[in-house]
Amino acid sequence: MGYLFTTICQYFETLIGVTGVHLSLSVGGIFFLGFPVTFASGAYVMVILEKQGLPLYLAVTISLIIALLIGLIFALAYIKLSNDSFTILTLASILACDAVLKSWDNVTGGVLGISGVSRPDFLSSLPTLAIGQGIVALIILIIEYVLLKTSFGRSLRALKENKAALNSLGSSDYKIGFIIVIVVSLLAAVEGMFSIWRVQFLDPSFAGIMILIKMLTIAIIAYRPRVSWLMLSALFIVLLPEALRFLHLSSVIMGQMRLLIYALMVIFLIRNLSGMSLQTSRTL
Amino acid sequence: MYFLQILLNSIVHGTQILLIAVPLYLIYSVSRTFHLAVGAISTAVAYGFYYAFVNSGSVALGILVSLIISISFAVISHFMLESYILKNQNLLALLVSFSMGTAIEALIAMSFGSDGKSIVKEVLPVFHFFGLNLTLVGLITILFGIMFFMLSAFFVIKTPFGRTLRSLSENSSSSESMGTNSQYMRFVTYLIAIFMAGFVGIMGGLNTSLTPSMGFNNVILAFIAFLIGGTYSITGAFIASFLVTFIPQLIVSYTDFSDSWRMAFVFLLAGILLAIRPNGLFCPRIRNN
Repeated sequence: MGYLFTTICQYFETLIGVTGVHLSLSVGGIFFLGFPVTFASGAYVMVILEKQGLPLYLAVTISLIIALLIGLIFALAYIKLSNDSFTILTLASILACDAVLKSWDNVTGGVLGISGVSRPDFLSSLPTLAIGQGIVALIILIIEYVLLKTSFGRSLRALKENKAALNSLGSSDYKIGFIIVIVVSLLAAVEGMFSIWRVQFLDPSFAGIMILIKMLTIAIIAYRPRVSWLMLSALFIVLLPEALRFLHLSSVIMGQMRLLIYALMVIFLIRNLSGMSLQTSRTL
Repeated sequence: MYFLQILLNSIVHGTQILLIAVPLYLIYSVSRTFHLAVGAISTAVAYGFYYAFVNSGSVALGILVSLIISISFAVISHFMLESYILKNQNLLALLVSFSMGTAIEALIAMSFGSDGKSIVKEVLPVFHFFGLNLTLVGLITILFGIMFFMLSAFFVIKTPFGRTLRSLSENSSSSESMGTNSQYMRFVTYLIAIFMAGFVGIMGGLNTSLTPSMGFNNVILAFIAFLIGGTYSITGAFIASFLVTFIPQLIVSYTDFSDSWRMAFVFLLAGILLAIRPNGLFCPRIRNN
């Protein structure tokens, strides 16, 4: 049962984080790759503050504020830089974050990480954690569903499909991008917090290229602005590595195999993201 | 003397970054795309050299295998990225190249393991002069690096090939209408760029050891140098490559910060410089429309 609930938790927490990536990449066409940084900061800040004796609600609030500030910096970079430079800089931020987590060892525990992370009392067992995560994921998905029906959602879609038309109708593409980058950062931080409550052990490998490529793969499979697609693709990607267990490979090979499969899926499915298929299916 | 040793080490590392930044510049010029897989390809070429050299003991065979791998990856890069470049979907091409790099690194890790591999077991010669130390590989890297850079700059600025390359960079449609075969140009550029990156991979492996992820760190540093220098300027890439290695090295050498903080300082430096000059330090001022 433990394995089943772990997988369910993994699915729900992935849904929480990937909703932001879906909004930015699949719907808005914003290539923001820095979300593993707020994923890590969300978990690290909360755990460090809790270890210092701060109450949970305060640790969570401060963690979210810090994720918001990091998101603000990314959002400012989005406004200031070209799309290419923004993408590269956000990718580089993952390496910078990794360097900080490994080097600042008196705070982050360095490469050894922080062990013995306790769950909050109301989420102390895996089933309750799964229920808690499920509720949060459901709320976020409902918000995304509603958001996609609003004028903001339409503007976000227009950001990918026709930026000039969006600007000509009086919406600012910078403003929309600014908001979305902050939303992605916050959701990634929430996912980081839930993940650490499941894993209960924190080290620099917690966030990085693996999280990035996994989220990208889900967002690329769920290229349509539909919540149902997102739910199905997240389920597929969360369950995919479980199938590899039947191959009886070593854990190192399995980790690399997972990375390889995600990368190949991105390469071969990415043309869905171009938006051309959506445009041609409409009567112009 | 300590400062001069830091400077010398930074020149060696900066040359390695430069030799990745120049291929990135060349590829960007003809395709408007950041080819993120260049780092992983350089690692793959180095592993190819390692495999052939360790099993046969022949440097010539090692170079031959490296050349074959380089040509193969030039073909694969062309095949993978061309459709996106033709449709001006540069960010999609960037993601494809990133995933390609990740896939290559995963394949290398699965084939050779994640631990470091030394190409030569013996201690390589170290030159001592004026109280400074420089390894043989460091010396070769500097000499070949400067030579490759000067040749690249000469080709880009002075030759018809370079003029065509720049015309594709500035206005690909006009250039194609004048008879430029852009697909051929791109393929040749991938080939040249990957040869240069492969050389860096082998030198890096000889200098320290080979690890599957070594290319990714180098390519990100090179990209930062490329962005700081200004994506239109090969001179900018040259100066910025040394800047991103020298300043962080100086900070970690003269403060209590350990060497592992270096990447954080590079990112901080890039953030500050790009906040001041978003188009890079050596980019000509562009009028806002």
